[in-house]
Amino acid sequence: MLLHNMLSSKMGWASPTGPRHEVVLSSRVRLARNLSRHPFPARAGKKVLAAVLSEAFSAAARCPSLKEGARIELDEADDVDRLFLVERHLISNLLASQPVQRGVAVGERDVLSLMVNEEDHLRLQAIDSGLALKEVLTQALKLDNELGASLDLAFHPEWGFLAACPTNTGTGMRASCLVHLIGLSLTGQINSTLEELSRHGVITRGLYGEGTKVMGDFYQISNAVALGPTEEELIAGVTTAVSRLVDAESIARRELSTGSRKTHLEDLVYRSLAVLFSARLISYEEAMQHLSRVRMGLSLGWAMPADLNAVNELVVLAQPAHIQMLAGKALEPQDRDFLRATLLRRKLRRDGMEALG
Amino acid sequence: MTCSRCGKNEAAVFYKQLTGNKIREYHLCLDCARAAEGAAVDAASPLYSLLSMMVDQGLHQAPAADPPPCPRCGLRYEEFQQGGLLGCTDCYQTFAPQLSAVLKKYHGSTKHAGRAPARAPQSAEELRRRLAEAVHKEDFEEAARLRDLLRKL
Repeated sequence: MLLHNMLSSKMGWASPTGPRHEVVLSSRVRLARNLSRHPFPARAGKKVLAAVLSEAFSAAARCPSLKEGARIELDEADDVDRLFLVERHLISNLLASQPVQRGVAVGERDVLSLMVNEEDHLRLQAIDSGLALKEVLTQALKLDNELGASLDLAFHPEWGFLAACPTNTGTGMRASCLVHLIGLSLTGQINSTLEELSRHGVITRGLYGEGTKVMGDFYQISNAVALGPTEEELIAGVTTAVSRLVDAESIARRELSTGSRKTHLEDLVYRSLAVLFSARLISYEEAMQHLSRVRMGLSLGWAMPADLNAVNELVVLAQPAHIQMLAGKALEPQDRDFLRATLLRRKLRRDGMEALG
Repeated sequence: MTCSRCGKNEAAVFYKQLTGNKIREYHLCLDCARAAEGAAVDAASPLYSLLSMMVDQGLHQAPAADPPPCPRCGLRYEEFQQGGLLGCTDCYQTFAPQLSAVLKKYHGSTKHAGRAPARAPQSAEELRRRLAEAVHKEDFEEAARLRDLLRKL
């Protein structure tokens, strides 16, 4: 296990400090870039992939933004390491499933990272806490400039940055926010609210991006097109759509927490708290469901022996590979569920007692 | 390749999913992709909409003669239509008329208005450093390119 020391390092984006963090957990900007000299990864042999990886890593070593961080060749990592990086949103499932001659460079606080030989040669990523797409874009563009200074990036004067898939060609950008919409799902407005959003040029997906089930009422909202508008215009579109969601979610939470409905909501939230404090075996899915409810209670300012920072961290730490990383080895599901339940009890109790003073 | 679900139609959506520690591969035809419940294929994914867009286009247009494959990477246009991925930057020249239509249809635009790449600083010092690096890596093609740039300076 190469990455054990990353467990204790802070994930900048999980800390509840960003704007509107009661609903928006994180903002992320991803830029797809390719090197003109080489065929795209899906069409490249091992030798070409190796050349791209070495060029990209030596460029990363010269970038002020990435110089201090880690550079990881994925075929040297084991399955648990790779899944761990997926859970931290540092690499994609695609990269984890084809590790040979693939890599990732990670900057400090996990804010900036560079995936090598995914669908495109380079996938730059910036991620941080709260609704902060503009700031995150600035970070991503800084890294883009640093890399562009030493690498010959594929660019077409009319079509922009050329990507392996034409859906990314143009800016190569996908800007997304991870939002927590539990209020809207409890009031039953979630589907109609998300449907309305499609008019704003955004698409909605579950927590893990393409094709995975939505867990704990967390959704990703991102721009639908990449060519035509400028980066700033695309960011503005997503920010508008997410701001509307935040407003709708806040109204839903207020409705749920006033009048006769309040007792029902309190019942739901405090029962979840009891489960998290008492369970001896808990699956990731169940943990997410209860963490989601407790997170809402905390964001409504209810006094609870838990704090938002701990809950946000647990959303990440309770994932299967993080649990196995804590154990230092691969675990059977039942052992995982046991360790997860133990972690939840300890962490909530410790941080919660501090929060209550 | 035929669809792994119905075994009848040609597969059009290729898809990998990580469940626990296991990676499952899907190759589905569009009908099955649409019908597959929840987890298998995400209808909101850009690749999915690109592929279904191209299939729809193909159904409503008279089949044109396929353009010749990309001279640099050998990709045939048909392969792109099936997998949604191009092979290299030259594909964008080889299939320019087709891709122009694809870009227009998907993005609603073919005119990039965003930023351009930061070009490599062309100082002699920087070029010399990169030349030495290329020689060290025995990348003589790149070394020759850098040497020519240096001479121009």
